[in-house]
Amino acid sequence: MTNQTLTLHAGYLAANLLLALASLTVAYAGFREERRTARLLATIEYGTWVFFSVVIGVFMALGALPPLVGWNEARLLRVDVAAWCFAAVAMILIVPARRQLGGLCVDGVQGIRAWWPRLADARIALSALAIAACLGVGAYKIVAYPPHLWDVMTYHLTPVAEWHQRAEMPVSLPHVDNYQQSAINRAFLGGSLLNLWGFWFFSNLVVVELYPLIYTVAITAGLLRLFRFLRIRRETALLFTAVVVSTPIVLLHLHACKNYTAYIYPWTSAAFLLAQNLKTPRRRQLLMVAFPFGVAWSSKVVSSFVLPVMFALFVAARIRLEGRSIVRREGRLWLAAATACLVAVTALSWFWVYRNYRNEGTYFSRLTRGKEAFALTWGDVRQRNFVPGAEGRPGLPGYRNLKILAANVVDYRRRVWDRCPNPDGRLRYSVDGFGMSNFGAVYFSFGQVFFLALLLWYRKRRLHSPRRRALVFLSAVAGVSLLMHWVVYYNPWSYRSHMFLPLIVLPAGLYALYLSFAGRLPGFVQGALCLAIAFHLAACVYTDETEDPRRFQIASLPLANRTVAHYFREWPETERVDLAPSAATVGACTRYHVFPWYDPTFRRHVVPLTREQLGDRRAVDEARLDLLYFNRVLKADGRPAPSPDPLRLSPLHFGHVPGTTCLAVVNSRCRDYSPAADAEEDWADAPLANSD
Amino acid sequence: MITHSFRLVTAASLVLFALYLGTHVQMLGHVWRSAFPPVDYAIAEEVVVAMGEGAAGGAMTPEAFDRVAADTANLYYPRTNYVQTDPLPLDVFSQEDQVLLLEGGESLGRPWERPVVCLAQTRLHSGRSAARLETRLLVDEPGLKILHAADRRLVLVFYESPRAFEKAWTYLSWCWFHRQHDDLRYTFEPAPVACMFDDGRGGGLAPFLSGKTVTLYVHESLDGCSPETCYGSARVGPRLAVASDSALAARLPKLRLASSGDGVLILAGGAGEQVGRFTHYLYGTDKSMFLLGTFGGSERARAYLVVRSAQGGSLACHEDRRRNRR
Repeated sequence: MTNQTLTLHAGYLAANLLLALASLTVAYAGFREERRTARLLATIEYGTWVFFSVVIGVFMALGALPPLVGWNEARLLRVDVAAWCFAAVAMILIVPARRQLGGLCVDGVQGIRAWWPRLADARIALSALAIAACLGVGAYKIVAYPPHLWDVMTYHLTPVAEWHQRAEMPVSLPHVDNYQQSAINRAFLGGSLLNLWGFWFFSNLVVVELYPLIYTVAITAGLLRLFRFLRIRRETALLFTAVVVSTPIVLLHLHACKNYTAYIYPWTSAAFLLAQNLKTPRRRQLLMVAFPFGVAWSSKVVSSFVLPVMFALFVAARIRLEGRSIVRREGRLWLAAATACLVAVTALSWFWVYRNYRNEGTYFSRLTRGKEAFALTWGDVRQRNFVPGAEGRPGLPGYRNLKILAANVVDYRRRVWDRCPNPDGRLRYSVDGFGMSNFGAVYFSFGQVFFLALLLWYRKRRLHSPRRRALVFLSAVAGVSLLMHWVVYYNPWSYRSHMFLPLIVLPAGLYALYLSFAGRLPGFVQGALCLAIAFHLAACVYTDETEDPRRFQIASLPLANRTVAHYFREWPETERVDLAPSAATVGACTRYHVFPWYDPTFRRHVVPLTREQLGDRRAVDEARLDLLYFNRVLKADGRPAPSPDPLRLSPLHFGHVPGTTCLAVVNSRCRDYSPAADAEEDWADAPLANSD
Repeated sequence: MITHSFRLVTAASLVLFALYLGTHVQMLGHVWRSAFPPVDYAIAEEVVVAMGEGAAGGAMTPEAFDRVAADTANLYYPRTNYVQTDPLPLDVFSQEDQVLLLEGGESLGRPWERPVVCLAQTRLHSGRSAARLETRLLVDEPGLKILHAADRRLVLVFYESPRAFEKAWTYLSWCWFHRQHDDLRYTFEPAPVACMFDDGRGGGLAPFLSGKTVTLYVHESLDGCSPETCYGSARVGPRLAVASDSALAARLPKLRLASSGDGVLILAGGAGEQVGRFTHYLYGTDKSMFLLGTFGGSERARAYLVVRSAQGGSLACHEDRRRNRR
């Protein structure tokens, strides 16, 4: 790394630290009415959302705005420009809130001083250690392993590489002819922008998944604050927080740059805050909801349905509690909060909306395509077939959706309790990894059972608490959201989309458990909870039976070689991707993801190509490819399928593409390869020396 | 005191809790086995490498074996003996041997072309040592199957390709790593390419290379890799001229320019089966062609080998190999 690069990255880090300080100060100002511990926890939680709101907003403005206003050569999405922008925004934020900065520092020091002696309590120390272990395991995995999930390879990280190389965010990025791949021009990719933010710290993939870890820290603070809000004792609140954070699906998403983390955590955080403000809303806090609101919306289009419903539930709950007259008294406050949310959403999602209309002609393509939404047939459901039914068409929920709902209910057990280890490795790289991504032992036992008890015996005196309404509100949010998911989409594997359940059901269930024992949990219950934490931590450790052993080997590679391509060496078409020079321009003809073709530093340029495009030699030549990768597909009987006709390449691994200036890498798995047959192909007669 | 109804709820929760742990305890087994693999995972006090004398066996010289082993720097490395003969002398195996049968390349798919391999397998599995062979399929992918059995001494039977050796060594390294709780620094470096030239008998590269000068080009730009540190002349033999060419450091078209000329062969290391096909194709022909890749995909070891067709010289590493054979 040259001195210039080092200075650049150091400047970027410094600008981020400055912005983080400014964000924490803003959050601190928003919660200054709270007591000290709650104030500090809220500062961490909401400081995170303020910080990432700024990051997303700045990146989107730098990357997408210039081309749209005609500055085609501006190329502003660069580390140095971003660093200057962060510093500028930090100054803008911190100047008006500068008086709060001193208070934050004093509170921080006093908070540490107050908490330090409490660690002498073994229960507090162990719970804190468990939380640290959960976060530490996630941090280790982020650094040790390159990203590995299917969707991440497909559309979460591919645009990151493109944005980095282009220094801008074009409205449409090239992709192979695949619906999943085309999601790079359709999905709301706020999380991907944060991947880019992580990438720029080292200009390497090493901490590209950093933001889920920070999100988890924020939600940990939020959970602890919620438990303390519910008047749960300090040591028990920490234990409960450790239980929720150690939930397997939380541990798995701690180091996955999937957009579920990106939208569910800020959404849940906003729900916690609304729940706590249910009795007496505080203006500043209600306005602060806009930050997680905007971050969540920018990260997944489903937020467009979930977030307004949550806000509507809040208003409905206020009216239910206080009567209709509350509308007159608080109407302005709600309007202000809604406006703040709208501003945040506009600032952080405008490009996704504009791009979707340009590329798809619609905001949410699933609705208009009539595919997954409202369109699965019963046969599809029964056969676990995700392919939409032929008769599927857009429309309002109907009888079909009831059947989808029924199927989802029947498969609830599978979502919360997958009991078998990965039998054949098929889902190794899935975020739904067997045995690791469920909702955990506590959710399956105490969590859901006591949650049910809380709802059933809501009015029972033992469960009576002036703050239980907060949990009822959260339960309503979870229930309505679950229903919204369950009537439109059936997918027995994707319980990751229900990750909000453990984050809401577990606190509610544990709270009911706590109250049912009158605030004194017996030893066997505490032991069970501790055992569950240990069990979950052990289960999230990858082993060579649950994961590809190469994952461990890749972890030991030098940073520069830790490319995701190593995961795909058994794939015929990506078998030797890691062999291509970093600085090359490679063409990738694949039906799947092209991300493995990038090197860990994103220096390599990748041009996705379809088989039809391969036939146009001039197009191949104009792309100025150095290497062209494609697969010589094996047929079902194990014999090689014919080469793409226009090229007629040999099944040998490298050949010269006739009529072009590039080399082709033909990754073949010809088990019955015959040298004599290949000698007849014309590539060997092609000129080897190119005069380019 | 807890009320009766909540007592029931708690009891139900505990039952579900036990049910969950009971059905997921298999996961802990994975963790345990991963941390403490069974003893029969190739823990050997002595390694015998038995090689045939074909192209692949010839390629795996003792020094090649040592070099790959040395690359795994902190690895526990057992005493190694080498046996090279063809067909494989099954007498080298004793009842106490722990046999790790490595079977590489395409022999699985085409057993009729590899009678020796098949014979060896048959005798290993059904012969006098059969009782000791608790075979278990550990790796099942095209080109490699590893069968192993438990005992104290480990015998590597290395058949077809350096690639198979690489994979096997990876696996063994991993086992030893777990056993020794040592730090493993595995790289994807393959069996050395230079040794692929070593075969003096039919089927290898020697017929093609005979009478040609070989030039080794190395990417200088890549992580301080120099010819000496990567694949120096000493290793590939005195007749291989080692050169570095900064033009190669940029992009592949330049590489092609640099390597243009009649009878250009760009060889890249790593894939034994690839070279195997290549040598098959090369044999008996003077067609110009090139293969391209890197030495194992490790950036550190990235290098391009250019075999330039010219007059004069032969590969002296044949003699080197024979001299070093134990």
